[in-house]
Amino acid sequence: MNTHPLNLRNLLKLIPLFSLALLTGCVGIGRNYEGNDVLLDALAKIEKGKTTRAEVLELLGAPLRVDKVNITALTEQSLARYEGEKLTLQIDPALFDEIYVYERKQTNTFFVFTFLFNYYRSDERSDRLAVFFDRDGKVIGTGWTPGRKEL
Amino acid sequence: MDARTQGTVSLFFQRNTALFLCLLFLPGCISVTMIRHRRGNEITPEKVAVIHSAESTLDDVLENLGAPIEYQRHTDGLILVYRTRAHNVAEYGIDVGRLVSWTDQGQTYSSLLNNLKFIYGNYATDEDRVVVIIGNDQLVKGIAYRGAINDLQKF
Repeated sequence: MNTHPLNLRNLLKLIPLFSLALLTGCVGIGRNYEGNDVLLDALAKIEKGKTTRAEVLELLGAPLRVDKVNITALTEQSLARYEGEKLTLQIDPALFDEIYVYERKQTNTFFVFTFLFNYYRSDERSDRLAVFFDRDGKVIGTGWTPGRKEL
Repeated sequence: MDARTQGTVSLFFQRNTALFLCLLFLPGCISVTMIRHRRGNEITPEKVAVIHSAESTLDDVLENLGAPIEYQRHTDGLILVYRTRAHNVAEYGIDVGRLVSWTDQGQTYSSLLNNLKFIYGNYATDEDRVVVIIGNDQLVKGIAYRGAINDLQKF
C-alpha cells in the first residue's frame, strides 16, 4: 500500500479544496457621493446680464468654491522680485471677477478580490455648475455639465 | 454516515485545515490585479469641434463643454481647462504586505513587509484635455484639444 502523503489519491482529494479556495474572496459594489445636488429649477431662473451675485446665492445656495485670483499672493510675488525702494502695482479689475462652482460628485466602484484574480474599477463623474460674473457682479455665463448621467 | 467514513472525513479535514485556512487568507497576496480608474466627465471631439477661435464666445464654450474643471484669470482674459483622466493597471505577482494590511489595523507590519514583494506591473495614465483661452471681449482667442483616453493601453 502506498502511504506517501503526496500519492495521487491524496492529491485528487485536494482538488475540491483548491477549487473552493479559488472562489474565496469578496465582491464589492460602492457608490460614494460628495456635495449637494445642484438645483436645476433655480438654474433656469438665472438670466445673463441681469442676475446678480446675491440672487445667485439666494437661488442656488452656498457654492462649493468661489474661484478668484489670489491678490495677496500676486502682490507678494511682485514684491519678492522687486529690488527698488518704491513699487506701484496696477491691478486690472477683471482679476476680481468671480466664478461660483457648485458640484455633486459620484464615484462608482466595483471590485472582485479572489484567490488569483483581483479586479478594481472606479469611475468618478460629477454634475458641475460654474457661474461666471463680470466686474459689476452680474452673471455673464453659466456652464452646466451633467456628468453623473454618464455613469 | 458510518464510523469509518466519518473517521476518513474527519482525518481529511484535520490534515487540510491549516492549508485551507492559508488559502482562505491568500486572496490579494498572489494575484493578477487589474485596475480601471476614470475621473472626470466625458469630453467628446464633436463638442470641441463646434468651438472656433475668434468666432465662438464664452457662452458657446459653456454651452457645449459645460463647466470647466480649472480656471485661470489673467489680465487679458480667462483660461478654461477641461480634463478627463484614465488610469489602467495590470499587475502580476506576490505581495505579502497587501495580505497583512487587511488585518493590520495600525499598518505597522504591512509597511515593514512592503519590500517583500515581486510584482510585474503595467501602468498607463493619460487624459483627454481641452484648453480654451477667452479674451476680455468674451471671444475665444485659442483652443487646444487632446484626446488620448481611447488610445490608452488596456493590457
